[in-house]
Amino acid sequence: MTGARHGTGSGWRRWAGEMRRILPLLVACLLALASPGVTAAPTPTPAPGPAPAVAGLVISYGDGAFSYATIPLDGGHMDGMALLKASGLTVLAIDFGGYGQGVCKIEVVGCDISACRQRLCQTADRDSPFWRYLLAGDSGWVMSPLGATGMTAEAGRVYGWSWSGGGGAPPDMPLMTLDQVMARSGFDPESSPLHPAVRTTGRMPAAMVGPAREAYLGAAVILLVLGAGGIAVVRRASSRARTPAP
Amino acid sequence: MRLATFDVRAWMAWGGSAFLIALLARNPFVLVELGMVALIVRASCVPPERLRGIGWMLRVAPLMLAIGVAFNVLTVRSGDRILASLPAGWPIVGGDLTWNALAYGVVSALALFVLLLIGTTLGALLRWIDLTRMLPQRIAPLAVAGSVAWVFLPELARAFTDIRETMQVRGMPLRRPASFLPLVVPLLAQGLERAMTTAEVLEARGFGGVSGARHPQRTGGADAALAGGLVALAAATYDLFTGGRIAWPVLAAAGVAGLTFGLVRRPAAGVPRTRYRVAGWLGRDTAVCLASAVAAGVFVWRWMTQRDLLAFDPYPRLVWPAVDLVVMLALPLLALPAVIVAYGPGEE
Repeated sequence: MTGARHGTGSGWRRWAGEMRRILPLLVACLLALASPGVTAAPTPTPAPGPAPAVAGLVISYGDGAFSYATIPLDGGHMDGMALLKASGLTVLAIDFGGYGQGVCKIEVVGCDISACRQRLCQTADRDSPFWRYLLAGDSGWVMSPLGATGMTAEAGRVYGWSWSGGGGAPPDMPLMTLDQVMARSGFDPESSPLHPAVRTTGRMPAAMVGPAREAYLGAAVILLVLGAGGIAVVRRASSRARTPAP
Repeated sequence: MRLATFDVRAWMAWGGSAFLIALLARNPFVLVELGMVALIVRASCVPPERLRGIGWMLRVAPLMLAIGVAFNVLTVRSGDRILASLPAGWPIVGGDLTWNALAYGVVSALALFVLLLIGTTLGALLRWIDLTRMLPQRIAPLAVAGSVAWVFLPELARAFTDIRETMQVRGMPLRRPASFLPLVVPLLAQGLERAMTTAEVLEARGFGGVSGARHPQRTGGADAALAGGLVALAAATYDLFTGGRIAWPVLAAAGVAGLTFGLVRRPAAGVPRTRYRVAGWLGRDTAVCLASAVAAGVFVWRWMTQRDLLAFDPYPRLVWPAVDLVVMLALPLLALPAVIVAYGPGEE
């Protein structure tokens, strides 16, 4: 019995020694599991090498056109929406109260305000496009679990925007490392201070420009003629209404 | 000589076209032109005894403008022309206010005003009794019941005033909310009494009665058309709201055709009504219908093929709105009723 107790004490000491060795690893695992980033979404893979204080953006306009942007973070807090706006691209976004902001249009691709207010550009068809915020994961792009306003941009990572519909990640979205984005956007990491860089490839829909002066002249003539004719018609109708019946 | 009048169906066609254009267009040029057309028709065609001034609409217009502009400016922070900046820390309203948002708000308010102008013009032009007579006999009782129910609203307001004055002369002033409680019972009793009286009056005039001959004709085809039309309309609605993978316009057209056929062909169960004044359809009614159809058709064609020309999107860059001269040349066709009233033959 004593031998057994002795033997048990020796096993206990061995077990305690093992535990002492793996305890830091266990604690590290528990801390990692408890952090919200792991439970919320797959963590985007940081770029290899010394991570510059910049984040990358890949924007797919859905018709073979892409924008690549590199934005310096300057150590400040920047959410996904601020990152997009800091890229220099023209962004149309509207407030949704506590939900943050929704993107209606990037450059000329998207929808107008009224359609955006209704369903963020989407129709009842689940395949109809809208602006989706994506995170670069190990196995490809994944949909962000939160809106862009609720996600903090981290240095060394690449984020994506895609004008597409349906479920899952868009297949035409190229998965890129930060170095590739920096190269495609024409970013100069040596410059001081760092400036955002953006470059667009592919053919974008033409932006709406104001019509020619002749068209305005024609519209003015039509409105003037209608106004003058309308006054004449109303005066004639009024005088006829006042004319007593014979 | 009386001014020329138009059939209620012609006015419905005119109103349908004008409403369609006002609802779809967000182009300031189109909206201004449509508003001018509605004003011309209103001033020329509405009989003087039914023509209410537009002073109240002009008083409402700044309110609509203020609401439209404030809502848009405070909720949309995009645009290339900054008007002012509020501290970002202010909840909801903090951030940049832009001229782009202001321009869009003004155009939205203009669209609302034009819709109101068309609606009030149409309301003054239509004689509701004529509209009820145009309905197929099968659904006429429903329309009569609806109009009787609608008449009860002013009757109720009048009864409320009567009872309140009666209580006041008896020394029961209505000052606090609790003092309104004794008013409820007589108001309810008076309402029930009026409802009973109306029901008896309608019953005495044979409303809802059944004729002796119980449907000698077969109604199977009409019933099938009604059922088929309803099913087609339901399918079209489902298809439209789930992405339009099937041809929903075809289904909708089939549904409307089936319902129309069924309602027209199915004999009514009630006693046939005698009409002493039959509304005539004249050439000028046809002209107004054709002009309205052409104006709406041209607009829809351009809207489907050149939608950018009929929209005004000041985001992200504030540029001058586009001009579609084709639509602007077609819109004055909607002023044809005014031209006929002013220069056409009148009624003896």
